[in-house]
Amino acid sequence: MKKRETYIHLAIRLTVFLSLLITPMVIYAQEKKEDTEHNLKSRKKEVADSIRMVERGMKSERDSTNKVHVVKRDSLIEIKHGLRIGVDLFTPLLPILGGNDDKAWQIKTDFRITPKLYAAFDVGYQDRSKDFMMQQTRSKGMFFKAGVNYALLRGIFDSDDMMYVGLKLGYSSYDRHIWGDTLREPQWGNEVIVDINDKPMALWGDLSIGVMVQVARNVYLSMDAAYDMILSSSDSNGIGPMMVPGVGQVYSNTTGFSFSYAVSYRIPLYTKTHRMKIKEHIREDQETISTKKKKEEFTPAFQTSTLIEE
Amino acid sequence: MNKKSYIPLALLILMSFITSCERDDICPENSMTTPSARVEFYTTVTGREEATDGSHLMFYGMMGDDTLFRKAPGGNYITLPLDFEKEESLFLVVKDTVIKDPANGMVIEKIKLQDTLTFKYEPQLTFVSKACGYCFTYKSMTVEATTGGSIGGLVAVIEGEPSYGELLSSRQTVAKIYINKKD
Repeated sequence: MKKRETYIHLAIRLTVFLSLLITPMVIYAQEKKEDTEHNLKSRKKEVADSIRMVERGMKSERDSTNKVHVVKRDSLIEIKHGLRIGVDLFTPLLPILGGNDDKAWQIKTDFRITPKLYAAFDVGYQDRSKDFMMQQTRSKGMFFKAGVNYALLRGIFDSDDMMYVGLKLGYSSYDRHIWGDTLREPQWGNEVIVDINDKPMALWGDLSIGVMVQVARNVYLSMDAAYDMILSSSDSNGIGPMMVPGVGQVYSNTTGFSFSYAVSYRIPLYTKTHRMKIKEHIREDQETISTKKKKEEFTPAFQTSTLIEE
Repeated sequence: MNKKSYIPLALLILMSFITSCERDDICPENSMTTPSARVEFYTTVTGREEATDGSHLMFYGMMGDDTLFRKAPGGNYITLPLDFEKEESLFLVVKDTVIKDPANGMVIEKIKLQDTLTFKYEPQLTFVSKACGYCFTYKSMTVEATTGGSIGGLVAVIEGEPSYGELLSSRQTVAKIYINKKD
């Protein structure tokens, strides 16, 4: 039993690790592709510009490069807003990996408020059991998470790929069954079998980090890992949270780790123009850099040999 | 955000998954267990109390009319298990004694001196930890004894933490028995 669990845990962690590796690679490859496309475009534009300059009779090369590299810090950008609805693939997969009769699902939604800020709402159900050494527990119930996702990646405005951090508040009121422990006092012939049914509540903060890539028009793959911290929990028996729907196993009554891998579809609702402040790296033209270097080079007025001669 | 910063971030998340191992599966040796009532034996020697050996005393747990067990202690204390399915545990404290003829010192009669020690409490199912499970603790603990037989006097004390009358550990002293040293 113990050995099998260890294998399951290993498998889960391996999956997590692989997906964590693969997803950034996909994003990286896509960004690289976009970058090269962007570079090609800008080079073409530069060539066209310089031709135009020459045609106009402006001979100064430095002037032309200055004009090409004007940094715009304020910009108007048209952004698509929509409601993104996703189904978590990882949560239903856990029972299959564990080979038990657990059931779970999760639906993740988000809505873009500003170019970088998303309102997020997750809803799900979990019916999971856990075998501790002395006792077993089963928790089942709905859970809700509401909060925000904030995009971290630059260049998110033209593509919808993003890396984000999320801050959510989770709530679950669930049915719990604890059984399996037997207390004995042989001298008195006592035998008490612990069998507790209660309905505890848990409120937790969920700090997540995730990545999202667009795989097709309006279709996204996202993955996030969350650190959950139990803020408040109530139960009449003073046991504390053991398994909480939406969090999973709770370690030392406070900490949990949850993970999701979701496929989402965005329902486009409207596009809106936002005034954005954009920081762009000033790319110096190769020629200006070389001329600067030439200027900096030290050329002595006299060669040492000539001085000796005199 | 730099593209290369994905890798440390991914590693960080991975680390958090690995370090979140099953610590809840181990029940430490010194974890809380259902406590027994510790009763200490004393005697009064020239007005001063002194810990004494109580090995000549016998304790019978009483369930109705049936005596359930016998325990002969060694040392200056005994830990008595309590019946956690009831709100009281009764023990018969027995001391074998002999009556001697004061004139010649011959044994006239062998008799048993006996007293009853009664513990009254409210058993409470207490959660210890996920790995250790549960135990019972006792609230509102009171101790009574009939004295004059084997027990000369009784002082019921629970002075241990966390509060008076609450029995959480077998190390707490529940009562002090003053043994009759008439013979």
